[in-house]
Amino acid sequence: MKENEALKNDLRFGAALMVILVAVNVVEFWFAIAIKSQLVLFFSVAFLALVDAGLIIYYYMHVMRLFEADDQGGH
Amino acid sequence: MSTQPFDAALYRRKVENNRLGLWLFIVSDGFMFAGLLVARFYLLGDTRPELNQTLGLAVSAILLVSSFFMNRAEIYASHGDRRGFLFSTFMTIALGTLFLAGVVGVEWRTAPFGPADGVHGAIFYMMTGMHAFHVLTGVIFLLIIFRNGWRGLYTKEKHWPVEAAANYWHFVDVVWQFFYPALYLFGTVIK
Repeated sequence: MKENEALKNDLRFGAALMVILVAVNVVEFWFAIAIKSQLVLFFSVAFLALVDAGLIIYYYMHVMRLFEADDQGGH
Repeated sequence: MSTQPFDAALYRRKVENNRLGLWLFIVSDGFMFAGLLVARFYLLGDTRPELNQTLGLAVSAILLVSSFFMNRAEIYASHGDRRGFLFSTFMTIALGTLFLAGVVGVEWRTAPFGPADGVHGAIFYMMTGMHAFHVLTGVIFLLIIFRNGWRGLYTKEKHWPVEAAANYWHFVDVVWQFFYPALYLFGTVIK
């Protein structure tokens, strides 16, 4: 029962993260159309790209597993 | 034929080493992509090639959704759900192939310049080509884990190849998060 709940929570979190990542991509696209200053656009999309990359590396790639002790498992 | 009992502690230790090795590879591969990104800004500055921005957004979304399914595949594998793993891996393969079709099959064919038409052509085809090659190898990696999963080789406790394939796939997605704005969004169009 607990196992099922954990699975559902993991799946739900993955789906929510995907929605955020796609939304950030759409915002980037909108910035490219709306912002005329190339300098402002550069820093805006660079910041959003870093946010997307950071979320993927932390939550999808589980970078922190690298620093986990031997007796801990993932997920 | 001898069968050895499964040693969970030994397996975990092996996975820790494998994980470190994979991350070292990912970081080194990341330097290569960073070099391409630097070359783009050095050579093109605040200009960009004339590309279909909507198609760029569509392929980016496809790659992100594929990462979502890859994450599901890994979660299902870690919970010992073989059916869920196979379905999610299949979806990742399908979306990865669709991404390749969008970039190589559509964007490359419709771009109003070729790889030899100046520096913007060279940069665009080099960046997207190198990335597409990584997507292709990722799809091959996924086909292998799909086949092994089909044969029941992964369990809740033993599924390191799934984690490795997932991390590689997500890495390819991370790279695209930088390539997409650099090629499609930032800069004024070169005619």
